[in-house]
Amino acid sequence: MSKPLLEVKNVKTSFFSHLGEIQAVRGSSFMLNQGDVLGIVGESGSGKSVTALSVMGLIDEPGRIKEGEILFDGEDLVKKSQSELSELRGNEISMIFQDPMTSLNPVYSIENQMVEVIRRHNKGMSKKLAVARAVEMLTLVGIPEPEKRIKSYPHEFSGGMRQRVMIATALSCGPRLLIADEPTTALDVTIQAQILDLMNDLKERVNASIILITHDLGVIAEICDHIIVMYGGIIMEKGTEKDIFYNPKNPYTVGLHQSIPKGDISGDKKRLVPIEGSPPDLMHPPKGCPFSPRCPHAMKVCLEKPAPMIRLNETHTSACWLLHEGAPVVGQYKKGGEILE
Amino acid sequence: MNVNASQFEFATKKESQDQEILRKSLTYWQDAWRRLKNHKLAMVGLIGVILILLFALAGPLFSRFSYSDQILDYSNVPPRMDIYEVADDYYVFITRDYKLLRISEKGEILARIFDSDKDAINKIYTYSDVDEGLDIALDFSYNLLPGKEADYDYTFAANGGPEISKPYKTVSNRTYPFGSDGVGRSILVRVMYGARISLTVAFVASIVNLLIGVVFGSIAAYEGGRTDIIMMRFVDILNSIPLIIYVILIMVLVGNRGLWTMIIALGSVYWVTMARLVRGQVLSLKEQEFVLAARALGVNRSHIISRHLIPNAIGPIIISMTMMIPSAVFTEAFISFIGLGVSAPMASWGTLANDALSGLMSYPYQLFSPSLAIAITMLSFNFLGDGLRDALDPRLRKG
Amino acid sequence: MRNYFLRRFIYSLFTIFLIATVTFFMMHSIPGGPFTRERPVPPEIMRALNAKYHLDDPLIVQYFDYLKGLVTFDLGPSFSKIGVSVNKLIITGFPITAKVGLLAVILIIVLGVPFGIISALRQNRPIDYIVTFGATLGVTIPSFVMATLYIFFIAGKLGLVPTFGLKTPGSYIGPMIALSGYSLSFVARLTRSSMLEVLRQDYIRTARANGLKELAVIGKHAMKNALIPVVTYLGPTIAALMTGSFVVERIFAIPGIGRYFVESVTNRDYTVIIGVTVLYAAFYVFMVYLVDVLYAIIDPRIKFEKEAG
Repeated sequence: MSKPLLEVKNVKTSFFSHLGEIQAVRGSSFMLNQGDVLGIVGESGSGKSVTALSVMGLIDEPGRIKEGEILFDGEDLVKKSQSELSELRGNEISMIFQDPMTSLNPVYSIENQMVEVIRRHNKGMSKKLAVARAVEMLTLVGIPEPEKRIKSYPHEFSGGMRQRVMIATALSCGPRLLIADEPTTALDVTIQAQILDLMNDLKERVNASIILITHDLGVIAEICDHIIVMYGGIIMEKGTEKDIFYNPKNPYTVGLHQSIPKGDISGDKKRLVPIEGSPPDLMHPPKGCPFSPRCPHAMKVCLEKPAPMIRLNETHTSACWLLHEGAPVVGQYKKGGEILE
Repeated sequence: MNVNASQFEFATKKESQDQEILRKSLTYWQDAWRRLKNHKLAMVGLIGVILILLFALAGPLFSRFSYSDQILDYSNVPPRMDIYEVADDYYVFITRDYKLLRISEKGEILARIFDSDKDAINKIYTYSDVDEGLDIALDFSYNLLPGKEADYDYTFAANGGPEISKPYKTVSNRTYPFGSDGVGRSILVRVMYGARISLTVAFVASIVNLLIGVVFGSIAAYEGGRTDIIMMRFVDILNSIPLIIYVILIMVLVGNRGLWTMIIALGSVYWVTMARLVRGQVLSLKEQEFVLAARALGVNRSHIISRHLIPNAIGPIIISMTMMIPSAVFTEAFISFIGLGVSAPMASWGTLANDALSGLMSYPYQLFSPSLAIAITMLSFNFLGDGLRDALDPRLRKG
Repeated sequence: MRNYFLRRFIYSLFTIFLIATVTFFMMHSIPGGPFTRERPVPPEIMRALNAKYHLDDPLIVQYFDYLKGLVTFDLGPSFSKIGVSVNKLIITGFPITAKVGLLAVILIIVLGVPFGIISALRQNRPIDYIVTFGATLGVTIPSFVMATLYIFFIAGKLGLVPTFGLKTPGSYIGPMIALSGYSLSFVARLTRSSMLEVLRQDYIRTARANGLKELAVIGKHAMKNALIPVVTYLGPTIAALMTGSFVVERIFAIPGIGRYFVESVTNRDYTVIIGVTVLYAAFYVFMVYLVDVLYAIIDPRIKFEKEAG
């Protein structure tokens, strides 16, 4: 196996407010190979967006990456200065955000904003060439009449179109990694599908690895090879799409599955089971497993000690005490597997 | 990893819930108050506002003078005095307009000692205290006449005795802690009464502004359509007028320069910002579900506005109110300063500052007290307003 | 877009007309005429004066005469300064006021905006505290206090500049500081808060995520957005500085238009009051119009909304 494109090792990111430290990410580790699509799922406050922003080096004051390494192509991004990072951003690693309505600068035209990025990362490129490149990207993402529309201002586009522009800009310098932070959440359902189709399609055409962040399991199923489930600032379960969807080994993942409606018109009506309680306060995270206060199978140990990461097979790991040998047998949580810590 | 087998027992519901650290759910006002308490400057501002109110309301009760009591003999006495011991336990102070005052060692003004002879050519005045049998000669020719260069400007000599050039000490004026004005009124008391006038004008004018603004803005927003357009055009026009001029014109128009004239002038003009603010708030709120629900239930219009819309817009309204008060103090001072304020013997801070202007070089303290009062009031309300904005602004609230 | 500017322009003219009318009727509804004095004027003299200034005409006739005068820029004679026209007063006073005002505006822009930006970029650092503190003092100390303190210490105690008038270049400093103090501080505060607000926006994060240099992020993307409210504030402020001149001209004994206005108010010199009020208002309305135009140029969203609406 070749060297991974991105390797995140035990990253901890906190925000320091005057009320105390908010531990948004409490030790997150994962890997991403060239060309892969990784999904990160979790509810708001689970640390998924902060993980992505940590990779980008876009943690704003009063936040800080406290610990860990982020190896991109073997180089530790945590150690890089902001100006070194800015050479990478938009060039090697790109990111698109949740709300396309507010993510484009309202007072500059699309052309102005795209050309600026293209010329930033292609030193000495003429404006004409840059415009041509921008038009080409807009065509790629399916903007009709790109030569004309490029002169428009953001407010003249719909939300879906703006997200296409965002994607076009992000891909314009041929990045090796694209991070999409809830790219469809703010859009209408039909537009959501279009954007997902577009990303699915682009995945084939541009040879970029993608990290797709979402709170919507349904979105992830369609395009991701690997999936990470986050909760309370830590990774609960990691595996392939099959592992997570058909063989979940963590009560939180199971809870997530039960709480989303399955759009079966066939009439197989299953009751939705909400996860009771509310997400942990990251200023005072629980000592044990963050999900333990809401977990239907919580044991004493769960409340006391963080669960060990247990490897179930080559691709599938889960952080849950139920998988520990000492635990009682509950449903699908078959014991065994190597304890990784 | 060693885990005791007993730990794998299932946790009870209660144990689980104990873990879930209960974030106390606070009401809007509790939350706002908590934030405000943490805001140091806002607390400074709040304490400042309370002190100013106490100063204005309770201050005059502890004073032996009223705001119009004049003692012409004691005019233009500064808050700090250099006193000279001209005889045993007999201290005097000379004002800048050459009035000799007998002062106690502690700084109380005991009496004025009148002059018996004025030698303007040699710049020697003689003052006589008949009761004590003292003739005090003041020689202020130093540094004024040729050949009289000295480190001091004047000397005293009692009954032809040695010249005293060094002050005995500098004392604070016990009779007039902030000094007295040109007709011998206590500046401290004048500033206290001035505070009443300035703050009354500011508060009442702000409340008038608030009422007009809230009613106007909420009606415009709630009615919408043509009503809204016409009402807002009117606001637009008012907004494109230099308002201070209209306050001045109203002052001229009404003629009688009382407290109410000022209140009417300020209150009738500055509600525009409030109206816009309320309209904006109501516009965004009225689309929300709870309003729709109330309408669907057949709740009538005025009830919806007063019970559902305005309470939800109260945060921004309060902030804007705290900012309105200092700006009303400011405007009132401005207008009084150019001589259009409340008429004598009433005086606001602006009037006091205006009165002090002519004697600025000789009696600067007369200007400092009202100016300081204005500045402290402005600062306190500004700090409080900034704090309230942080505490009440829903956008910053989640945090 | 041209349509929009034209419509705004007509709208502005209409506002000026409205102001002129309201002012006229306000002044004419004051009990007693301009020649009412403490000591009663003999009736025949009063009648002669009224006839001379057409005050015996019906109000509506006077109103149309006055409108006619406005259109031809003839504001009539002063009632208290015999033989001097309002036009003459404005022509002598206005340039002086404008000169001091312009200097103050330059000071506001050159100092206020950069201070605000620096303060926002260094939020919660010493420089931010210094700027914020200074700006807070600036908006809390009334201009007349600032002016008198300046005169007392700088001109009086230290004798660095003349106390009154505008004889030397140094003597402009005091009026400039007193006139600009409040607005300068306000602009610094406004720029700071606007900049902070903009820096929180998603498009700033996008610009950073696209690898733009910090200079471009701040200087291009943040700046243009952050200055929109500042421009909005500056327009009317420039006009309002002239009203600030009431106080400053009085303290520094500058023979500008503000002093004439205050004098005319105390003397009940109605033609001067009306003339100067309309002049102020027209200038103000014009600046508001200019801001609208500028606004539409800076912010592309405006044309869209207004034109559609």
